[in-house]
Amino acid sequence: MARRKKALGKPGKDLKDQPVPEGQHLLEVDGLKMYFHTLDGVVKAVDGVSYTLDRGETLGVVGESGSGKSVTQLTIMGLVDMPPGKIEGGDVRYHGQSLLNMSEQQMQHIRGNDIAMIFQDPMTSLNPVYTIGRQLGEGLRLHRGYTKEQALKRSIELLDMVGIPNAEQRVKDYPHEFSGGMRQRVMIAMALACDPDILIADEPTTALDVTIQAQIIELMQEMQQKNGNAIIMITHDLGVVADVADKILVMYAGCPVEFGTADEIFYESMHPYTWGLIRSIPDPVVDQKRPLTPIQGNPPSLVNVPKGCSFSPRCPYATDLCRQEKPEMYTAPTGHYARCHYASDPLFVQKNAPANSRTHKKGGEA
Amino acid sequence: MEENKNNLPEVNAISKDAEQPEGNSTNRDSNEPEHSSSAPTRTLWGDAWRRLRSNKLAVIASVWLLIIVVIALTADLWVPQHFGSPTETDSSTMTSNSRLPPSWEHPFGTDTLGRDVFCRVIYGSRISLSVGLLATAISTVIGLIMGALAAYYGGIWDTIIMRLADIFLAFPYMLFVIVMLAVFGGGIQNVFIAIGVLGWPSIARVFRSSILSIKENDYVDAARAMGASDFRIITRHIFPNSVASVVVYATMNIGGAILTEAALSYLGMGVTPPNPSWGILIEDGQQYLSTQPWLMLMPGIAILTTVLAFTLLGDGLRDALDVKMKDA
Repeated sequence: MARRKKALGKPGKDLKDQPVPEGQHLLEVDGLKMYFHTLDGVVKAVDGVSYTLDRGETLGVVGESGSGKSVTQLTIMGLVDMPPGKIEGGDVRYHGQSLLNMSEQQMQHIRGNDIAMIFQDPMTSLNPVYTIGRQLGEGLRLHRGYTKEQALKRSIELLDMVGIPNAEQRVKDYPHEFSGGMRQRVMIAMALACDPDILIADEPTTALDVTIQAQIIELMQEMQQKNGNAIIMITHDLGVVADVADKILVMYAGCPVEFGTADEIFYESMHPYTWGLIRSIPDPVVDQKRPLTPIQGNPPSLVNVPKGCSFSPRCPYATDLCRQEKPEMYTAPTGHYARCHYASDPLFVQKNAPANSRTHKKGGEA
Repeated sequence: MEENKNNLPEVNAISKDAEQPEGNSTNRDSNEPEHSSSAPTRTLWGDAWRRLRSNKLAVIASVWLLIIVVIALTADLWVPQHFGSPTETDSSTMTSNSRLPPSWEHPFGTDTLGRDVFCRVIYGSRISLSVGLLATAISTVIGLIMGALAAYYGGIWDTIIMRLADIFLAFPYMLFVIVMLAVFGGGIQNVFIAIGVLGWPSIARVFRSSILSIKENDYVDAARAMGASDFRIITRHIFPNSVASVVVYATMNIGGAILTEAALSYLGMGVTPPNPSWGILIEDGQQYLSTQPWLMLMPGIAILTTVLAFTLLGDGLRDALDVKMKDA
């Protein structure tokens, strides 16, 4: 057992140590579909998600609760229980190799080593019976065949790296002796222990205090600059992704409704749902008191997605066409895509897109 | 290990020429002692041991159990010389020694056949303790495996195992044991096996429910996202978190097993006379309860204190295994 792990852990054997094949992206998600088959019916939790990600990039995945943000990433990691989940189509390619076709054993090696994950709630994501040092070292011992002592030494370095003072003492402490922000730092250190290519952060700041949120985001960016890994940041806070993301994927009801660079999403977005999200961001500079503009209604149940465009019941611009037919993807030449019948109509987009402080500012500069 | 090897020469070097230590090694030197004295390497079991030692009742209970175990193990070396054989009857002194009250010579008195009760209680403890420990070990192992399979894999495994447990629990326990002994024959080995095999459902249930609540925790998902296998998750992440409840249950179960054996022997299904067991001693003594109460009282006290000690120890272990308990 130990020998096998060591052989796997040899540098050069791992996918992450090899160059990405010509013409491929680090991670390519291609029309991924994953449905849950439940007693209530088929839940289309992930319905045709596509995006690409390269080294050093940050992808922001935004959407309301239950829009399939997290479950898409869990599917990529192979962490969705099958059944009730089932892959219904599409592919996930990492370094050009399909993750969906890999054996459980190969996936176990990918997880933590090539693709690591940070969870939402740092208070419950650490095992209460182990010291911080042991948990930090677990990935190293699993994937790199480190001995206990090597792992502990490296854990101290990692803790130090994520800015925990007195790391040499603190590795011996238990999770309950750490505060929430420090635990999230530990989670980041744990995720980065094996130098993964991709770091998936599932709402990493939601459970944290506002003052700590910025620190954690900064830390993740700092680590990214150091290690050159890609980040997938799942969040429902557009403000967070605005600062850090290179690309943004907007999801609604399990379906990606818009994908583009951060600038494209904020300044040239083509989908009414994205407009709704942008309008819901509180403007930091206001001349007069005015209410926020929320999106009316609630997201649909995924068992019973509305006919036609799933956003049509809440869309202020919906027409009969929207209510009858599912919109095709409209892809702009830059790769920016939106799933709306009218995305291809520049007049419609220009007339209805929100004029927020960002567009103003950009307009002023230009 | 590696680090230690590296440190050793450095530390030696400093003690030799303490006048001019290098900057690097001074740091090490000043850090190192602080390390080992204030915060020794902390592990779950090390911390639990420290907390257990600060719990007075648990310490008393463990000392008492230790005394009983030592006496039981060393009985052959000193008991027969002073108090006579536990089983054989000396026909010449049988009538004169019959049912003597406690004295220096016979601390617990003598029984009808003139045998020393103290001696018999001590030899009886061998049977009672081994039944308690072995039977509990058997049922804990079966229970842990069954509970883990049922909870972690769920579905059909869960249904089959838990319904099987329900069937076991539906029979009156004592009756079930007696029937098993009646079918497979009495004798001490069968008592071990019967009590052990029939004890698993409750342990499986406790373990299953604690796994079910623990496996929903984020750290289990986090471990999976880290690339840990099912086996590793069960043994390294779920088991240590649920071990507290199982340890507590198992220690208390030891008391239960001792009582069951006593009841079986009392009913004449367990140990065969003239071999002593606490249950047999009580049965022998019960008819003299009004005239020579010590015959029944002494083995009774032995059972009472032992079972109580196991329960208190279990209680102490539960507190000790909770990492979040404040250190006293």
